[in-house]
Amino acid sequence: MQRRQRLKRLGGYKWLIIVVIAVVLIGFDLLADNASIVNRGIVVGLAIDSGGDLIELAAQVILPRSGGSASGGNDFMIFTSSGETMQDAVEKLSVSMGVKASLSHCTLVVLGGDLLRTKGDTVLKHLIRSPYFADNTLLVAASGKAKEVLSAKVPINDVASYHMQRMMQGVQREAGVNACTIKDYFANYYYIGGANYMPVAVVENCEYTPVGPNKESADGAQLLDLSRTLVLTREGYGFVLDYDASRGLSFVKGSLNDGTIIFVSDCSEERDVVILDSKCTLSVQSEDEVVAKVKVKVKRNDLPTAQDGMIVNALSERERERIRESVRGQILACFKEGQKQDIDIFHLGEHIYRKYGEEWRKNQNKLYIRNIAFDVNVELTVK
Amino acid sequence: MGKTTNVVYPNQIALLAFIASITFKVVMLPQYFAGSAGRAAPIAMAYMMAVEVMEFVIIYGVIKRTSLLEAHIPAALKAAFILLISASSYFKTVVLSAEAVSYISTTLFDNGLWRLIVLAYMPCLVYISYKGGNVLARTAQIVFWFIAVSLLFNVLFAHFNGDTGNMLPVQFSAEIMKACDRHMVWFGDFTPFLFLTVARPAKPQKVRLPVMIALCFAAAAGFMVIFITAYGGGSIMVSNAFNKIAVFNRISLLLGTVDFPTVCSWLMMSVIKLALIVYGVVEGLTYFLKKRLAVALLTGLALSLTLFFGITNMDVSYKIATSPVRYAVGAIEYLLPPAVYLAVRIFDKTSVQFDSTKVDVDALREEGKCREGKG
Amino acid sequence: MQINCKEAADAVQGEFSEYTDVLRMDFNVGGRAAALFYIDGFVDKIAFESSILRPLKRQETLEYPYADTINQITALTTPMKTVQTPQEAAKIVSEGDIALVIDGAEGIFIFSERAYQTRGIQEPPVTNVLRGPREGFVEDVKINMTMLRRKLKTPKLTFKKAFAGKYTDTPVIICYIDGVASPDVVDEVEKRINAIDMDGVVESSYIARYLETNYRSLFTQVGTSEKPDIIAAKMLEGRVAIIVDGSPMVLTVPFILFEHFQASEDYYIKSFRASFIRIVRLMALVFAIALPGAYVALQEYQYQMFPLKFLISIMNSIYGIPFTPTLEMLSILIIFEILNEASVRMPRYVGMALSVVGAIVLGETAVNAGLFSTPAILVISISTIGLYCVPDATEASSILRVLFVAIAGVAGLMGLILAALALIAYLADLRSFGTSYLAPFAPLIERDWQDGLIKESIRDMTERPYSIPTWNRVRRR
Repeated sequence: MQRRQRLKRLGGYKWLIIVVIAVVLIGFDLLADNASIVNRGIVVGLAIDSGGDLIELAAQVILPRSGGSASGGNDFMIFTSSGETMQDAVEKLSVSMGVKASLSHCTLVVLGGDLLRTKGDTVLKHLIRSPYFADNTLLVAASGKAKEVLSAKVPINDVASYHMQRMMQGVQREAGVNACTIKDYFANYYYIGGANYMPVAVVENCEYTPVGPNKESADGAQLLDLSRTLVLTREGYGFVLDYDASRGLSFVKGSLNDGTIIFVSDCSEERDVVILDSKCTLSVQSEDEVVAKVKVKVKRNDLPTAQDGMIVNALSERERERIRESVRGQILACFKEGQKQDIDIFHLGEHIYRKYGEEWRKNQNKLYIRNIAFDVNVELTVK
Repeated sequence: MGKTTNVVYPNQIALLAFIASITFKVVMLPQYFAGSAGRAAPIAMAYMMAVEVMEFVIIYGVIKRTSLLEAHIPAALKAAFILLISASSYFKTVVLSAEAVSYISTTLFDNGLWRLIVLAYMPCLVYISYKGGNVLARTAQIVFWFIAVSLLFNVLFAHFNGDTGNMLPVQFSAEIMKACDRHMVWFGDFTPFLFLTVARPAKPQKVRLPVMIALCFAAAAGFMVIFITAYGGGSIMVSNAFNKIAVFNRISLLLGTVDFPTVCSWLMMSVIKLALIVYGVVEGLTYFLKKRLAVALLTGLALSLTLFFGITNMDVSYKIATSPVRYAVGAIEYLLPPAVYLAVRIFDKTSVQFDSTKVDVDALREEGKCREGKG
Repeated sequence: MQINCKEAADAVQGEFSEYTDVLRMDFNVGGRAAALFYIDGFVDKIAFESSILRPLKRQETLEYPYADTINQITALTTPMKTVQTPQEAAKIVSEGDIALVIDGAEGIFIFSERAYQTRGIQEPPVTNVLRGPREGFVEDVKINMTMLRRKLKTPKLTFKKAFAGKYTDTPVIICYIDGVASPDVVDEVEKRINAIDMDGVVESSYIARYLETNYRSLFTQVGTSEKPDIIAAKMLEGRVAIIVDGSPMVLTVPFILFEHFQASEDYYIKSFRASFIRIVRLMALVFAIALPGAYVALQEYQYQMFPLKFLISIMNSIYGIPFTPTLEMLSILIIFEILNEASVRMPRYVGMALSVVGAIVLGETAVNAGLFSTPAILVISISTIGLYCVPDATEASSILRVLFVAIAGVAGLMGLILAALALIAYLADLRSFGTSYLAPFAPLIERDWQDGLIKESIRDMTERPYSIPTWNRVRRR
């Protein structure tokens, strides 16, 4: 009763509650180490290379521009750092930038060839474990240095990071660009055989001049080619698929809804059809035989024309067969390349394991792909 | 606090059951299960969910008639039951709070300080649990709209490539039971419900309890299937399944790298769920000590201190959750409800279902005693 | 008992202070000494003179009991009353009636010919409608009762009179429809009003504080309205209305939070439009309270939730601003509150100039000077406009949004969500005369959703809300 009266004299419970809340809030504010967006550098693309024992990072960072977005696009800059581990390199990036590096909007990571040959596994495991990278972050390999890919001066009003993202997502994606996210990488990593793939970015000079507010000089532009695919294993760098084999891989692995198939017409001219849709199922016939059943829906690129009541530019049966052969050839080319290198590109072992279980797996060694017969059936629908 | 503090309606129980069941099964648990059971993780999840559903049915059979606090059973038996529930609830709160704090620290902050998050999180939990089961259920009813919409969005706009073959071959192996055994603490969260009373509503309600329970089972097992489908063997690398899967949707690709509705809805669910378990502690101890406010404050303080100094990261929390103590907690979670059910059936012949038509007048009269001024 | 005129008149006069506006007129009635007490300005002079004074002065004889004679000679519109003590007479004179003391009479006679100046019936300034009645309550309790009677022409309409305030003795009328309102609620209201112990009641909000159980809460548990159509509609749902003399604001109980989102116009327009508007109001209020805090939280802590282009736009806008996001937002909030308060208090003629100055100062100059960023101004503008979409909730909302900004500034989105949950829990525990404050959403009462966010047509609303205690659930009986 006395305690209650004393509390009432002090103003009641409400002041106690206010004091508690104030202590909590002030304590939180004083002790939390935080930087708001004005004190951060937003990284939109990251390039990781190996420099001896160190990991070298190059980050494409947006620079804030005063006056709001009405004044035009923002400038970008490449900042570099190096460290013994990924986390070390990221911390040092903040030092080189002068503000805290923010990787939350980094949806593209370019991995240098030399890194993939040495420390690729460690770096990729960091990417999936790190809370800063979303698992839909795209992975791209560089034939040489990753930094060069990131620094490429693409011809249109954009930067390399955005440009490559658009090439691998949605509208501009073509058959042959085998996009790979962090999630896809680790899903494949744990398959039987552990083969993985990602597009290889090759920088080529071109005669165009880059346009846009965020270009540092008027030198010639550079083109980025993603039509080739790097195949990796759990040990690291494997080999690079050529253009046709990459397309073969994309038929088996991706659901394609874009790109063209070029074939020779009955008149010995080169014609093409547009891919509308494609699906592939791997059918396990026996413990060492797998058939890929590919269904491709295409449409003619030219409008139908008629003469004497007959459609003159329809696809003949021979032409359809050539289209089927084209697809089949590309897929088989891809498989054969992998088989030559003892890499199970299509994860056939995984599919056989799913059907036959441990009984099959315990009898296999790392070179099981040599004994697997692979064939392709292509079902073509022309719209 | 009046008698109506712990009275809830069947539809409120259904909501609470859904939130209590799902919340912490979609964050770290999928990775733990994948690490133990591999491709058979969905089977392990389905098995444990089936056990949990059976536990809930037993508990509902008790509270449909009376809450444990109001039951006419021998005093010593009742005291033992209540004390055990409070103890297991305390343990679970500590383990699951650690998981929630870890989630917040990595998702919402740049590795925010553990203790500061506990400092902000605990008062809210304690406040809601102090208010009672009735208020907790109503709070869940309000926030569930947001949770349901965000979950629905994630389902409707999901955009990831997955392979259902990742679950093959289907093998019923010892790894499944090992996974279930090691992670039993993450299941069986319904014992605090024994302190609630289910009221007969004044007007007939469409009872959605069976639907909701089926939904719990389907959601938990289904999420596990989606997770394994998406990540396959890589599941063991994924620390926060709910967040990682949620990022793969068409809207999130436009919104940023963290799926805002998912994070916010999970945070709300975690507060409701943890408040429910803390309520189990507070209500149980109040039965003995009578002063509810003091019990709530002390519970909050004890939990905060445990998380401040005892459990300072997820590794410690996981070690404790998978230590032999889990068997004691598991025994309470899975064996106590049938024991209570039997005790009530044998000893309590007089309790009847709470009649909510009487409540309104009583509440009005109770309210009439103005706390300040003349009344 | 027979009155001694001089003693009684002096006693009545003695009840008033030396400096008073009460007038005393001494004259003879039927050969007997008499005294009249009244307040100049309170009585209808023409009626007073013609109906009371002249007949009394002309009367030559008086027969006992004097009341009968006086009733016959005077032409009164309200029945004459008789009181026994000078104290009662003085009290009644204070209320505006006329007291007549006659030597040898059986008591002191009371006449009522009140006619004082009141404000005319106008459209209430805070409740505008495009469609529907535009009349509003005034300060006079009798006029208000009449306006209500015009809406509810039923013999079941009941007015229970009570008084509150030691010095003001303010009439408080408890209105309800007998057979519709719950007697328990009526009794409880009466009990709480009779328990009021204070010196004066000058406005209905005084009564409201005594009707609320948690009077210190930020959230009102008593409804208010200035419009008779709204009050009548609420009474038809089973609520009890309280009219307080001297205030145009009529109170209603029980009150639920969702009433803030229900406007009278919703019932006069098509239900599709009404539903849409209610959803917009809810969104407006959520934006009003949460948007500034969310904006601060996202800037300070959870910037990764912004899409990249939006993030770049914000970064560019806040580049060079000298304040932290929290301080910036709080400063703008305070400035807007100052502007708001000034526009309410400012004389009408200067108000326009102030609006222009405020818009230019904040909208243009502060941004151009680099003190504040454009997105922050935009956020606060949306928030303030949203606040006034639900004007009845402005009191609580304006404070909550400041609190949320402070919490977001220190604890980010997590703090916001935890604060929101704590607030919801607090509201879930609040009750108003037995009704849950968050009904019909918590507890879920689906039958009441016909008048919830999605409003049904008036023809389909055949039952009274289950949230409100009533004896008669069916509307048409």
